[in-house]
Amino acid sequence: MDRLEEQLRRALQRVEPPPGFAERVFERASSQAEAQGWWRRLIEVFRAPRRRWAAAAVAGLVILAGIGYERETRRRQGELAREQVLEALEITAEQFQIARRHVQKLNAAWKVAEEGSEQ
Amino acid sequence: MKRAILMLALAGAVWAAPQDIRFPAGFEKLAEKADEVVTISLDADMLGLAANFLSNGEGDQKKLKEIVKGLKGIYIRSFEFSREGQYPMEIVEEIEDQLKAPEWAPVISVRSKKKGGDNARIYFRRENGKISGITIVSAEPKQLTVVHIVGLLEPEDVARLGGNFGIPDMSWGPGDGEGEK
Repeated sequence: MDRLEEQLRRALQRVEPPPGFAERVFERASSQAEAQGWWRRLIEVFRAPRRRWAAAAVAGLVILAGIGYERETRRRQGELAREQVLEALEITAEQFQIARRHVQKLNAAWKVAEEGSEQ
Repeated sequence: MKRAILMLALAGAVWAAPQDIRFPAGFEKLAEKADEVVTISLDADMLGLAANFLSNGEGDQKKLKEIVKGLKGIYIRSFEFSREGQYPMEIVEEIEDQLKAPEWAPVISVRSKKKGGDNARIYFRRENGKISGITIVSAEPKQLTVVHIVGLLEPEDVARLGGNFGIPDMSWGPGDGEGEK
């Protein structure tokens, strides 16, 4: 019986926490409460019917602004693509002209050579 | 990592699909040397977008829109240098090696034997009797230009638009030489 008592006493004896333990527990508990409070406050703001409408209007405006931005970006891309197409056709036409000029020059040279050999 | 490489390879394959010639890697170095560089890469999506921004009007506007709608890609690289001999002829050969028969046929070929002379070649690709691709390789002493157009385009179409939209007025076909501006 004495042995059992001794074992129980040893198992249930008071153990001192490590230094700073209590501060850490309090700090953690208060930061959690603060975080919960922030969310709760935000939800509370939108619980009132008027504010709910305001929030919906703000969300709608944000969506509209997003769509507008997307359309504007697409318009700019389209105009840039259009400009590039025109520039590409301009370069292509110039290159055709250059090639044609070369061929004409060669034709003229051949003609002169042919006429010279005939004489 | 393997997945990333595979994705890149697939992206490369998708990108390469409409552009059936590859521009040499050396073009990047040429761009550094060149005084003026023109880089145009328009795939089918961008051409579709551009077509939406072209007027539906009559005449040339309508014709231009029709031409653009028939195209699948326009790829242009043009380099202008201040001095002669700034690009190696191997880079031109690297492009021309990809333009082989029976798919591609040179329709105009001007090759100077002189070093630093003018070289110009125009290749057409035909499918079912229609031109489905045009590649122009113009190697001048101070300028190198490669134009690669994928899709249905007749040179006459470009000629018809001449004098409008900044496209030079050009006459095309035999005996048109006098009308040149």
